[in-house]
Amino acid sequence: MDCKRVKRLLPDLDLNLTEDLQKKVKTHIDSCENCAKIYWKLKQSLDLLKPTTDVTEQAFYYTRLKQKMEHRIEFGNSLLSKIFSKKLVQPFIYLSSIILAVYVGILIGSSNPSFSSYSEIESGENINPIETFAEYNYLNDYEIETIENLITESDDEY
Amino acid sequence: MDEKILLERIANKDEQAFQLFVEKYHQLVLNVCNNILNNFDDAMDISQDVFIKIYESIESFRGESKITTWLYRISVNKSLNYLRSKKKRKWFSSIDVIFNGDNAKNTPEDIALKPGENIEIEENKKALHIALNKLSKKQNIALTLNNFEDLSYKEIAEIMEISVTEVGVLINRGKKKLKTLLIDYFNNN
Repeated sequence: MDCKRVKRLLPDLDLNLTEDLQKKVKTHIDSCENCAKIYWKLKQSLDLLKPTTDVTEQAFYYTRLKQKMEHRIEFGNSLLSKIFSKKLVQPFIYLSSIILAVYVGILIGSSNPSFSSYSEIESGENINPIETFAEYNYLNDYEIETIENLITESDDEY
Repeated sequence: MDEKILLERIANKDEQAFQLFVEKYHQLVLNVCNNILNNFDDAMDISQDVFIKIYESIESFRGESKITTWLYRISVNKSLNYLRSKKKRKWFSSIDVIFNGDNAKNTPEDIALKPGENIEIEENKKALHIALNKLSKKQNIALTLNNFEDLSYKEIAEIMEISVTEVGVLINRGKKKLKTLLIDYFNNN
């Protein structure tokens, strides 16, 4: 049995393994230094899972609690706490983020060519918005010609 | 003093009754918080919040369960909320570390070994708490209450507001996962 398999079987060692498998795992642990180290460390760690009485009675617990309560009452009554209270600040932050996002979106979406330094249109020039739109959006000049023009042109050709 | 009368007096904002209550139960609350948070200062802070919450909302205690069950429930919830907010703060402090160097507060994973104490036991404790923190929230609570607080499945079920069967499943699966996590930890360290 190899180390990889032993490590995979270790969590089940004292629970679900067949007698034969348990024997094999234990034999491997006895012969492999690294697996034995992991096995003992695992056992020692799990032994720590027992009721703890680490915390002893605290002498001035109530005094400290009382101080905290008084501090909370003072802070709760102060103007600062009202301003920074979650109920006020959170909606304000959410609202301002939405407004900012919408504003940035509009700015990006409405990038007017005339504002661009790379624009061929000079400022102050009289611009027909339909022509400009057509110029920038259609490569085919025929697109901006009227139907009547097109019909008369084709009649002339014949 | 009878507990029911004590609670009634606290509900009427009797400070003396509240002091008696705190003195009687603070060790229990502190111990639960310490077992979940694995940090005494944090546990001290959160346990005080538990008592403040009790003082402010004692009317909501209907007396259907034992007072200790209610205390455990509030302590567990407060500790979990604290851990959640600590995770958020940790994210911000990691940004802070980038700009200001490594002056962030220690997390359970960074607990230094205390001098004079058995290094091996401390290392195993550290590994155990890291592994417990990697379990799901429910598994962690069920295992902590069962092993550290020595509570029965029935009591845990009442505290967590789930069935006894579910508690059993959580504990069994949690223990197996805990062992796997510990093996991984010792394998890599």
